[in-house]
Amino acid sequence: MMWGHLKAADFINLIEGNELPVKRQAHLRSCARCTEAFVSAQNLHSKLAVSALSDDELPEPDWFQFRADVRNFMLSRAAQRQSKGFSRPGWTGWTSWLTRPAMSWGLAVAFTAGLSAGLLVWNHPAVQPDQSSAAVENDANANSSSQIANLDAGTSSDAADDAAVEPAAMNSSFRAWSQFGVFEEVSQLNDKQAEKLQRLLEADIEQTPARQ
Amino acid sequence: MESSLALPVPMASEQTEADINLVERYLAGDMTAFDELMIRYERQIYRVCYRFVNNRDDAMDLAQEVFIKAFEHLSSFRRESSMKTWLYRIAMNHCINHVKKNAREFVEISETIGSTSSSIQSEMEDREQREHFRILVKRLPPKQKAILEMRINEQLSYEEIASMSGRSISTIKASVFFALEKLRKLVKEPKQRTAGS
Repeated sequence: MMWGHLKAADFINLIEGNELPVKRQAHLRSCARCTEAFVSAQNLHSKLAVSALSDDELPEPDWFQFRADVRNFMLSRAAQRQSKGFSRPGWTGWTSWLTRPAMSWGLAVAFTAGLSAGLLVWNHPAVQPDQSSAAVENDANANSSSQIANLDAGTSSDAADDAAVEPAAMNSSFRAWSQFGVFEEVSQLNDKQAEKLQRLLEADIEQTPARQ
Repeated sequence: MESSLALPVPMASEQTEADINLVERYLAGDMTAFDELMIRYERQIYRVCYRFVNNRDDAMDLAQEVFIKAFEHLSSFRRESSMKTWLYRIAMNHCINHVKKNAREFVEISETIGSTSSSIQSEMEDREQREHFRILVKRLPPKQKAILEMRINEQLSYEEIASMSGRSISTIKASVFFALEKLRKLVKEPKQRTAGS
């Protein structure tokens, strides 16, 4: 609407019988556009009032039924609420826990800690025995292993031959034999072989201080 | 059948006090207050709903839903406005939502009561014109239509409508004027088009 013309609220005030300020009344008298708008709006306003449905024209419902329906609905809803007990709706579903911040934080921390621990265990090398004692043990095992192998093969070899065995060969033979393998082999020896093994070991023990 | 729809409405101040008393009784568990509150406002709410849907069954459903909403939220009624204004606000919003939701599938079913065997020609014409005008009013945007209904048919004051809709009085007055302007354009349209749409 252009500057100076009546506003929408002015038209309504005018239609409903309220007085306008003098300046606006003067404008209305001089402005054909505003006059036309006012006459048109007033005409429609009165038509609207007349065309409204009168109370006689409204179909009368059964008010007892109307009230009973509302009351029954309210009662059934109240019963539903009671049957649900005192459980709060937000706490019933297990998924609702995930949405709770404290629970979410707790789960996140637990998950991170678990993941870190898992990675640590996965990447950590197996516990290594002391280097010097391991070397001695390897040495002894290698000797005994090769000697047992010789016994199995039926060859008679003495401690001097064993001493000449290369350390690399001893290591490889040690790797090939697990400790349980040695005990198994020893347990399967006959008396003669066991006696020979004992002698070899005794000789080896005697030589050990000399080697060191 | 109970008393007609044209039941005289009690004075505003008496009404407000009595309403607050009823609300407090209902909240305290007195179910007779429930019925009393319904009796006071059922016709008015039904009438508002009827004007939106022009159909008794739909109007009854809407009015019942309005009361259910109201009773469920009665504890949040802050007594700043009157019970009547509060209920009208719920009804107005509910009807606007209903009209918006059912805008595409809306089928007008007129259920006006009265003598259909009238022999007076002018009365028939007059009635036809009024019917045509009601159809035009239905074509207004739901919010404008609601404001127009509240002002012209329910004769609520601009203050009451403003408090119901959360707008200023001048905005409500402007809405009424723009609704009238829109009606003027609709009246100028050919009758067939308006009836068919």
